[in-house]
Amino acid sequence: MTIQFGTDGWRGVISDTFTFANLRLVAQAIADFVHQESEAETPEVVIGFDTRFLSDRYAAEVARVMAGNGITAHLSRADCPTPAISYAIVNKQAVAGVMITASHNPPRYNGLKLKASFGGSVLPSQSQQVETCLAQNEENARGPNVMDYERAVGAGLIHRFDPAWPYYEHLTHLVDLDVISTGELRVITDAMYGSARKCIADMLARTRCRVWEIRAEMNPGFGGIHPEPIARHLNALSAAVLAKHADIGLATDGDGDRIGAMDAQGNFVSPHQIFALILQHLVEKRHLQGTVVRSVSTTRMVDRLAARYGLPLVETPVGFNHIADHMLNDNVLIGGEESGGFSIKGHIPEGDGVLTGLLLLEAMAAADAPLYEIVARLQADVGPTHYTRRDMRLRHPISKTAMVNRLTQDAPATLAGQEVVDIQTTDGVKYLLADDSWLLIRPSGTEPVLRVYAEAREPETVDALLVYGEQVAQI
Amino acid sequence: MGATIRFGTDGWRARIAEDYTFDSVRRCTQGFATYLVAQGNTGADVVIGHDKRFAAEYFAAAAAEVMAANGFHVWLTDGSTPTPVISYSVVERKAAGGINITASHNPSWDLGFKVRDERGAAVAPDGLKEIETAIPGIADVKRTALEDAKTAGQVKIWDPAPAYLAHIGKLVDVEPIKAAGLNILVEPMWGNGIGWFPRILGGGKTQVTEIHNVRNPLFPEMRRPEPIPPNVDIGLQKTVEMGADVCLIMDGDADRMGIGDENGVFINQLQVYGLLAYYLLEVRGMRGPIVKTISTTSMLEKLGQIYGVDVYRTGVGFKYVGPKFNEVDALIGGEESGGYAFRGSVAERDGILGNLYFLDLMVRMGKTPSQLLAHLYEKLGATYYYDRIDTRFPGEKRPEAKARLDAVQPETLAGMKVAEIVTIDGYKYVLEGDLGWLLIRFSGTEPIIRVYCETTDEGKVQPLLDAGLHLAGLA
Repeated sequence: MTIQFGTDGWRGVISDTFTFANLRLVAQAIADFVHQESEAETPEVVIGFDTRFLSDRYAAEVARVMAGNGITAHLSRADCPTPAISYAIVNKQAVAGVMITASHNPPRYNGLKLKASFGGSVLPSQSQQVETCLAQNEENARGPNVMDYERAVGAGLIHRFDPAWPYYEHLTHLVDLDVISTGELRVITDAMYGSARKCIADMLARTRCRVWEIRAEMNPGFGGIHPEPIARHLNALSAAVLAKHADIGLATDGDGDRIGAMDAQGNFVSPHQIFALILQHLVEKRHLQGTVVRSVSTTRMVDRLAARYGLPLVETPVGFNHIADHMLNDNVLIGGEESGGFSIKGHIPEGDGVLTGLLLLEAMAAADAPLYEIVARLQADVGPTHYTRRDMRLRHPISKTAMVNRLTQDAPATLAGQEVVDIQTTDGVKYLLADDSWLLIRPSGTEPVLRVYAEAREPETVDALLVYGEQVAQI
Repeated sequence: MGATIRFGTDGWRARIAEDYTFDSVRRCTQGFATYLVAQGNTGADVVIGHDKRFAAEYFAAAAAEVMAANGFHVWLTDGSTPTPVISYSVVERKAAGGINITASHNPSWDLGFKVRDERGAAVAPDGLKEIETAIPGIADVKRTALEDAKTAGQVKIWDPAPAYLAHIGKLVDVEPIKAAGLNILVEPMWGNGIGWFPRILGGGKTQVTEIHNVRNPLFPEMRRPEPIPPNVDIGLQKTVEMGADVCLIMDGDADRMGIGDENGVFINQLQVYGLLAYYLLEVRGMRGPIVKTISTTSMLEKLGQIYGVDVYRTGVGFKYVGPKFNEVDALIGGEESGGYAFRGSVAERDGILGNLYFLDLMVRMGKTPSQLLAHLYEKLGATYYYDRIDTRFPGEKRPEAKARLDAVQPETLAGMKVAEIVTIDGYKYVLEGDLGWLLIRFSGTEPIIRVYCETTDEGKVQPLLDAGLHLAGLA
């Protein structure tokens, strides 16, 4: 079977495995799953799509299959960010949601994300259910039930709606637009041709900020970049920030669940720094409390802040679904990861680049200082920290368990002149050093890629740790 | 075994990710390979190129893998390439044939598969039938991984531009155009024509500006990349804003052309044909037959009389023009949609060469496009007016309408005498005394009826079209 349905849904190359025919099969399995999950005679689902090639058509096709199975599909009128769809599921009390997106992947990919009734990625048991339906349908040679689009609209089974405004309304409860307004900030937003286009600008239209949007037009070739908000793809943003003398540049990824930022000098502000700044702001200015959740590859600056504030801190494996587990069950103040996905108390358990961007503006406005200055203050306060991640393409996939066992057994006593004080195996192997530096070696779950991450007080130490990590991982 | 693939007159076109999948492209390529081998071309060279549509380069690579596995030596273009350049490259590389991944001027969600014979021309209908028959199921497609084929020297990635540029350099002297100080706007319609005119004409006093010159597979601001109104409206508007001397238009794969004059007025493709024929006959002093479809201008017959050259009329579509062009060693061959072939080059449409000739005409005559048209009408002793109506016409009503048109032999139309009824393709009523013509045709691919007319009396355009609709039983 060419369709690999996992916890993050299904992704493939358009016209190769990601075809309309395969999509109809996946949609049928999802429809079967929805009927298993719901007692209702006509269960409801929410369907959205990003700006990728054919995304709108794929979404309409999923809606037709839902309608063909007696499920009401609330289908977005236009491209929208993933968090807006996740919020719409909760808001409409739908059984599930489908988002057509390949997130930050290269342009030739498209994908389908399946969201649960709580507004986050489905649980592993739920994606297993879909997989089972998919396999059973194949075995029984059961094709998809597809209803004609116009007929489904006429029967009220496909209902077009605008997910943006209820989502914006919800965000106003999480962000203080009045505080942002006092900053009178000059903001460049960079949608990276993705579906969070217009969102931050729409929100800021209610403030005294000035906004310029770049890369907000539809171009499914993404102008030659990958819509991933990392420094390498943000040259256009830093150029625009400098040209407009802006205070900040905010970049959102292809489907708006991740954030990246540039300060007024055109320097990249990492998600680690964004995490620490927002945490600081929420506790010190907003006086909020709660657990801090971060993935294993995220900065220990937040550990130091959490310790200072007396807040519990939880470390999770990589993947926002692990953070979501805690958000659903504990009193979580903020959860986030190195890739730029963050959420806070009161929001859906899902990364949200729009929300994070607005919170960063709020923190800047409240501090009444340029971003590079509050980053410098943060470094002086809970740093200094330097961080790098390197991805190594492996010739052959390696066994994660075997690698973790070996690196645990053969752990060094010291690294870069520091004692190794702890070895963690939450996800890959993490060596924790006496001065709070760390090295993480982690094979990717999906591709033959090995990721090596390090954070330390000095850039030289980071390099030394990475060199060591790459060496031992290669053996 | 996949679905049946039908090759139309211009190859195969289908919706991306529905019927147009990587596997379908591989199957078509295998069919073409089998056909070429049956023609005795084992081990020959083939050229493969593509347009700027979504993922076109990946489909071209998939085709290269199949040709290589079938023992051919593949010349794969190093980027998107205009259709005329691919056609010329087939000849220049002495290849047995070519594959062009393009859907020309179709909507953005389509892609296509065109094949070329050893002369760079479209494969004749009986050849297409053979290819179609030879298309196997996916299990019977041979494939060599691209990297392996490159290493083995079976696939060479090369830049076809230098040879083509040298070729057209022999057909037209660009130095006077470069020195003329013209202000030229180029509208490549987001397509393969991007970059060619700045490259050909750069470095002199003449200024070349392009619009819609980035890759955007959605073709924004136009319905589709077809060089007729309303798709050209933005370009024409920009011509006025810029005060440009001319707007050169090319369709998505740069085999068809259009012209906007210095006032932003569209010069239709019949007028362009008249001007290009006049250029070759009068300005260049060349002599040779003219080949035209019956749906294009009568100015050509008039020019034929004036310069004493034969004019051949064919059915509608370049597939009829190309073979005739070769057979009679024509000076120029063309159709009403803006595709023209020229003596000394390949018997295929060439939007780059056509536009260059038009510029050369402007420079040599020292006239603006509108002055050129006025000059031509003066030479012909009449002004020619043209219009066309396309109306939906259900397929089931077609036999009745045909019977009617066969039976009715009108002696007059809109008060003018009918001299001749031509039924090469549809029903063409030629009026007495060079007053013009009316043509009624059913589209070969869509449920559409087309009514065209050209007349030297402006007041007769509408009455003639009305008469046409009446004859077809529509009014």
